[in-house]
Order: sequence, then structure tokens, then C-alpha cells
Amino acid sequence: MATVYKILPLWYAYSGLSVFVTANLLVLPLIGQITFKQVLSPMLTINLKKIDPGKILITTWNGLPIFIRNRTFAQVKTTRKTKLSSFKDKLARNDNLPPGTLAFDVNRCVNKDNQNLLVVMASCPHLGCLPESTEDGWFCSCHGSRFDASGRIVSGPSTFNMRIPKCTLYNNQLVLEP
Amino acid sequence: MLQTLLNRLLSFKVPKLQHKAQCFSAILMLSFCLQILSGIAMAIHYEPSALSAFYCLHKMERNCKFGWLVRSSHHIGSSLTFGALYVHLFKNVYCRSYSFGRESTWFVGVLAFVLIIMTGFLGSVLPWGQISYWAAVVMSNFVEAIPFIGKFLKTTLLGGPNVGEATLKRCFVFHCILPFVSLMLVIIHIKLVHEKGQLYHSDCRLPVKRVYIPMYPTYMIMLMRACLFYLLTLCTLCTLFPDVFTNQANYYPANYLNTPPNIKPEWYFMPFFAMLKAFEVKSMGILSIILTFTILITLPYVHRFIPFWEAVQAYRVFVIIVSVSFVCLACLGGLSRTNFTTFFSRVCVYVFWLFFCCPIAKPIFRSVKNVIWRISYKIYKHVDNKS
Repeated sequence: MATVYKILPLWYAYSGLSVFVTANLLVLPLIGQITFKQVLSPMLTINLKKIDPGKILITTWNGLPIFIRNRTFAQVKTTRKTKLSSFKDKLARNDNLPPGTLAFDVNRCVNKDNQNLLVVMASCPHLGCLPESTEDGWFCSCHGSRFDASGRIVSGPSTFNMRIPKCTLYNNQLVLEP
Repeated sequence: MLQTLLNRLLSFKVPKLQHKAQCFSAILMLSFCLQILSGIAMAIHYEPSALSAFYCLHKMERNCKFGWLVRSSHHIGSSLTFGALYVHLFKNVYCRSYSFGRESTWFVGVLAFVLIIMTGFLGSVLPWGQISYWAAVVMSNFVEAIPFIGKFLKTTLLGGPNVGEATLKRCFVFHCILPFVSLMLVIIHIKLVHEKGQLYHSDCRLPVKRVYIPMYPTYMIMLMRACLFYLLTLCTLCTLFPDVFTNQANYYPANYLNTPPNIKPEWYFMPFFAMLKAFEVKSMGILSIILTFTILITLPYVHRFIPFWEAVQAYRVFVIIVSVSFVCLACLGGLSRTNFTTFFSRVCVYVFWLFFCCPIAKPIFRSVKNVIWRISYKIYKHVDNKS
């Protein structure tokens, strides 16, 4: 009997190990395959000469639709007239700038030299519908959110501005990076 | 063995005074079986891929023999099943069938209800039309609003950053599995009903003498008549109006660069959709749905101590108010969003939560009644004095 008690810890260790191995072999792959790891697509280059002033281009990148808007001078002027305090969301949701930057129109553009150009994720921050572009911005027909020409929320159920993805501009070539 | 089963089934004792709405249990059983049969027939022709999912269903409708009938019966059958389910639920809440030692039946039934709702939503994604696609997008964004685990849950459920082919495959697989799980629960539910017995129609009035009769001639014929009526309705709708419950925008294949103007799910998800839409904060909408099911699950414990007829009357008034608010929510869910609809649906949700206050219904009811009596007595006296 004494010998049995001696090997008992060994037996426990062995059974524990086997359970561990079985769990690793059977259960973890079954659960693990459900979870999803995002494979980022390579960078996308867009020639901006195609977009005339006042026009919008819709592309997809990483499975998400994106608006590229070439705003006219009048549109930029009207968006800058409204004060920041009248907006619901006062943060520029711009991935290129540090978080906490205020949502002035300058902070929403691609860069300071091309202030007519706007790149935003084409999904309503409320529930992900695709907003329709209007003369003075965007209108989401799902639940009636209204955005101005720089993608900031003006009225409606949405609580955030439209998100701006990470992008850079090299002489008329827009590059979306992962 | 079959004979003993049949014997036991036919000699099952049912109350003599049955509520007429009890027929809906039989209708549910029949429609559930029909749904599974037509679902298997459709799964044979279905291809869960983003490119061909929409077209294979239309191909099935046009090229297969009776394909249109199978598809429309599956689609219309789901609507009718949910209608029967809601009536069954209302009847059982109204008559308090969950109390008096039948809690386990109630729990299993509610669990099956939740599973059937999930199955229904997954099934509505499968046609891959505009409405199905955008309904999935909207629902996934609601899932994202769950605190802490929302983002992880969303990408896990969708299998990608956005609704796509992986989502469709997941929906198809779970739409195939969940009905069988809920069928198992339904069988347990029926077994429990047979073990614990049914509610006597006037269970609340205690002094009534209860008489039980065997199931076979009277009750069985009532159920069969109801089933025939259900089949007649289904056949009429399938053959003459196959697209009554179809949204027009769902005749276009899913396009992720174009949102149709007024997205709304099937009518049977409308109350829940309206609850989600009612609040500015998205997690509040999810909380309200969870609270709804919590109310359903906790009902047997909340209303354990109401043996008096007066309290039961108060409870029934409560149930009617709550179900009217539920119907109002269903109507509001389809309307486009305005200030009025948000306000009104918020009011409806709050009224729905009143259900939690049912234990204090009796004193409220009594005091209201007393006040009315006192006022009417004063008026009566006043009139009496004058004359």
C-alpha cells in the first residue's frame, strides 16, 4: 500500500497533464477557430486626380467602405462658419492626430496643404449604415443622423463624428496604411 | 411501445374548463414541425456564400418543382409561428399558468422562446437581400455597444471586421442547429406539461370544484380543429399572397455600398427593435431587452403570493397595460425615427418595466378602488341631499 501512496502524486500529475494535453488538442482549437484575427490588407493607393471638386469617391479597404470627398471652396467656408461649441461631439476622431484633438475643420482634413480633401470611414457611427451624400454633408437614412461637410455630427441619434482612418498624401496619391 | 405512448397521450387528463386560447399550443407544435420540414427541404438547395446565396433561393423558386411553395411556406410559416408564440405567451402570462408548481415548464418554455427568436433572426439574414444584410449590420453594431466584451464579441460573431461571407456561413450553421436544440426543449416542455398537469381555467377562484376529463374526444377535437384552421390560413397565404411579409427592398441582392431608406426587421422583432432604438445610449437598449427576458424568467417568483381574486384582477389589469405597450412598441418600431416616436417608445419601455412592480399591484388597486368608491359616494350623497 505504501508504494501506491508514493506514486499517487505522480499519478495525479500524469492525469492532470493528460487532461491538459487533451484540452489543448481538442477544445482549444474548436473554440479558437471561431475567434477571428484581422488580416490587414496591404496599402491602397488612390489617384486623386480622378475626383473632381464637389465629387465623392467610395472605395473599400480592409472590408470597410471609405468616402473620399473633394470639397468645393464654398462647402469648406460654410463648415468653418459654425462654432465648435454647437457640435455634439467636440473631438476630432482622426487617427492621424493624437486622441483628444478638438474637432476643428483643419483637424479633420487630410493635411494642412490640402484642406479641401476629406477621407472618412463610410459608416454611420450610430449603427453602421452607409450615409447618403448631400450638398452640405451626409445624411444617414437609417435613423436620420445628419453630418456636415467635414463629417461632424450635426443632428440625429449618432453621438460621434465620422472616423478618419490613417492615411497620408504623397503628391496626389492617397495612401491608406494598415 | 407506441400503443402505450398513444394510450397515455389519449388518457391524459385535462381540465374540463379549458381556455379557448389553449389551442395555440397545438398550433405551435404543428407549425414548428412544418418549419423544420420545409427548412430541411430549403437547406438542400441553399448555398451559404455571399455571391450565390441570393440567386440560389430565386433559382429554387423558379426552377424547382414547388420550390416557391416551400420557400413561401417557410417564410410565412415563421411569421405565423411567431404570432402563435406571442398569443401562447400572452395567454399563459394572463392566466398565470406558470404558478402553482409549474415553474419548470415555464422556464423551459421561456428558454425555447429565446432560442426560437435567435433562430428567427439568423434565418432572416440568410436570403442575403438588402434588408437582411443591413439588418445584420445594424444588429452587429448593437452587439458592439455591450460594455467591455462588445468589440471582441462582434468580430467573433461576424468573423471579420464587417458583415460578410463568414457571417453568412455562421448564420446558416446556427440556423440549422438551433431549431433542433429548441425542438429538444419543446419536447421537454411538453413532457413537463404532461407531468405537472395543466392550469385549471379558473384556478384563481379557489372554491370552484375542478373536474378533469380524458384528453381524447373533446379536447383533441378542439386542437385538431385549430390545427386545420392554421393549415387553411397557411395555405391561403402561401398560394395567394406569397409575399405579404416580404419587404420590397429584400428583392435586391445585398449591396454594401447602398443602404435602403427604411430598414426594419420582420414584424415579430419589431418590439425589440423599438426598444433598441428608444434610447440614445446603445447599451441601454440592450439592457432593456435583457430586462424584458428577466421579467419573463422571474415571473413565477415575483407573483408567488397572490392567492386572492382581487389581487388577480389587479394583476390582469397590469398584464393588459403591459401587452398594450408591447403592441405599441411593435407599431413604433416600423416608423422612421422622429422625436415623437423616440419619446413614445421610451414611455412604452418604461410602462413595460412596470411589470416588476406587480407585487405592489394589490394595494394600489385597492386604494384606487377605495378612492373611486368614496368619490362616487360623495357625489351620490350630494345628489341625494339636493333632491
